Amino acid sequence: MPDFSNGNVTRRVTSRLLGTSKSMGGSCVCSQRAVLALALLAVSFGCDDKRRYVTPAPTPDATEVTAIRVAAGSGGGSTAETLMEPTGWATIRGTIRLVGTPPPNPLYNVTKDNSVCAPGGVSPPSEVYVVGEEGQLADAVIWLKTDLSEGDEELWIHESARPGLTGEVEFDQHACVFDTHVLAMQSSQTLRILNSDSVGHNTKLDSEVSASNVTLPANGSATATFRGQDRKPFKASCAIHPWMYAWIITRENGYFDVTDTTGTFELAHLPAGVPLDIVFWHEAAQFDSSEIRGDGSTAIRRSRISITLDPDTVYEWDISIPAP
Amino acid sequence: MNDATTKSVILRCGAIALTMLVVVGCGQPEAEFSLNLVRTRIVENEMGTEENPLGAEHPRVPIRLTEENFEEISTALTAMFGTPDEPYLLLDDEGLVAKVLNLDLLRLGAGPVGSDEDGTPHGLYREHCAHCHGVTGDGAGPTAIFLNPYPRDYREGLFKFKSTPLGIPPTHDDLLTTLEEGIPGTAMPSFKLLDDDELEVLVQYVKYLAIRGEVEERLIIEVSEEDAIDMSAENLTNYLVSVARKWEGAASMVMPVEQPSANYDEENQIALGRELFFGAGTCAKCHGDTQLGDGQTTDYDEWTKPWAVSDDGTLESNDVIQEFRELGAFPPRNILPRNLRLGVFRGGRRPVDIYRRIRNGIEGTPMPGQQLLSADEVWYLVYYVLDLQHEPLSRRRVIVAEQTRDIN
Repeated sequence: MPDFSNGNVTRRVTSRLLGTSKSMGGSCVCSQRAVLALALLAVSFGCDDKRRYVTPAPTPDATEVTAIRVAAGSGGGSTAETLMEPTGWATIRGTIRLVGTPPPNPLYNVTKDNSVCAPGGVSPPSEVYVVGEEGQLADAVIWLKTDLSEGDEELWIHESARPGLTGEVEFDQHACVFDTHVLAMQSSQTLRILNSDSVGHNTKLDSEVSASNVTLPANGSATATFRGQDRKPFKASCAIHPWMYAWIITRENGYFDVTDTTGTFELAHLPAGVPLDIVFWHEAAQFDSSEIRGDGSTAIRRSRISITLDPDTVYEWDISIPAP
Repeated sequence: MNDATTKSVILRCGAIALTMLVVVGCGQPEAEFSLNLVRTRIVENEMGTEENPLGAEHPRVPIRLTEENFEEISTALTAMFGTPDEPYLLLDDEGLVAKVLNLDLLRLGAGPVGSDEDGTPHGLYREHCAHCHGVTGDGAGPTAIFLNPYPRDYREGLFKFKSTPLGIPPTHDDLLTTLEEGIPGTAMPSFKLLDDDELEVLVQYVKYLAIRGEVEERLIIEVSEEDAIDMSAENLTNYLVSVARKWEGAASMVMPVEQPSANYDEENQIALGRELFFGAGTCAKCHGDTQLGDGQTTDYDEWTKPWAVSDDGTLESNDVIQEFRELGAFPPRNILPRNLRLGVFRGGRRPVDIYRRIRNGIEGTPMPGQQLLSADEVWYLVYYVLDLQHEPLSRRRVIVAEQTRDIN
């Protein structure tokens, strides 16, 4: 039995660790260096908590934490806001152009079912930048971000854009490419997903509110419904053919538009006299550096324009984005 | 005692003291929740660019959240959820949050490991889960990097093995089943030996971390869109309620399992399942013609895709991967379709488990659901899949057209 009381064990272990000879009482040059090395090691490792590179979370504001908890306990503390009422309707329309030569679209990396997906041995090009003859940008989405659902529907949402639109929107695929690269619809509508190919697909919708992933046998079809609107376009993809993708955005009301190769868009009958946020989106083009000319226009910041419209006015906006 | 001896004694004492210091360490830092920096960067990248502070002639720079933004997120989350040692719940007037989470149980799960005088355990989450799933539930505990698959990151609120359809959280019982059974083929063990009460605490704590993570994501989005968080109790309660509502509603969204219409008939039904496997089910496309899980090996899961994979399904550049690695992400790994010949099924091997995986698909993965097949057809697939493990690879198999035809 080792005698633990006199520290022999520790000493033996220490001496082994330090690589010193049995006779600890002898010359200590060796252990002196070792002690120094050990001290250096200890210092260099330090006492930080050794998480990966992640920086520590900032310290929360304790006073504010307490204040929030007290306010919640006291039954809210919400103040009755006086809501502004819309004063009529206004329309925004315009054109989006890419200035300069758009980068060429790479070919899809077809790795499977080549006879169907790359007919004639040629892979189809991707659709990142689809532009018209004069640089008009297709597949850009414009939508109203402002939440109108709180107010009186009669005043806030024009009858042409009311929520609750029903019916089916078709979303087909041919030769392993989605026919519609960017699709916008009301969340109350039903998406009819079709497969016009002779191979099986699956259509995975990465919606933040209503994700789904349905298997589509050759020439099959399925439907998808949505539990609410998405805050931005989400990806539709196929796991069997990983190069396939498209974008879908669902909105509760009808204030949205997608451009085609004419680059034009229109948000008709928006509520006037109230502050609105209008969002511009494209899968690759950056609106932040765009130039916007037209009535009452402001700079696009964070892909957004904040504006209060005058009633019975049509705003014409000409938006130019420098090509990357 | 001469000088040399004194010196050597001092040195010896010094060596021992230093060794003790190194062995014992410098005390434990207080556990804290870490911010979801990976998600933050994804959201930041959606925010676009702004003018270079050096002047308009320089290239524009990406917009990034500020220190104040991060502090706001941290303060809001602490007000709603407390800390790893002292959990808290910002309760709503309707009592919805209280329906989903029980603060008393969470207190048993939180904090350092230990027990009261009467034996009531504390710190159950840190005792059983945190070394893999991390204190924050980010799936990045100390052992996580060594595991394949990586432990689940709860903060997305996505769980694979459940009875609810995609997009709906798992039920309380689904999580309990995973804890009791473990996940075969992974590092996730079974916790069947724990008391029922303790399991209940752990399920609660996992839900707490998942809900916290989802609320954090919404706060990151708000701060990215509005420059600041509306710190009113009303706004924060709304966030908590909207996430809690999803979890509360999960139990009513369970997908029913329809019974097969005919009795099990081995020969015919397995053959029918096989036909579906290669045909209308399109299973062979990913699980492979030999069912070894080698039909589609280049895809990624939903915890990896948002930062590591570009739109057309290829891996992002090394620079992008490195950027996110520095924010705490693990090296991306492909998600592989299950090798169906091993008889190891992660979501459970009961026929009903396989039925659910096939019918609903698997959340967070490329596995789609079979909504177009009838219940009987799904059962045929179940029988076929369960039979595959018994089919020796050397068995002379009937060669059918679908199996060998190159559709390319």
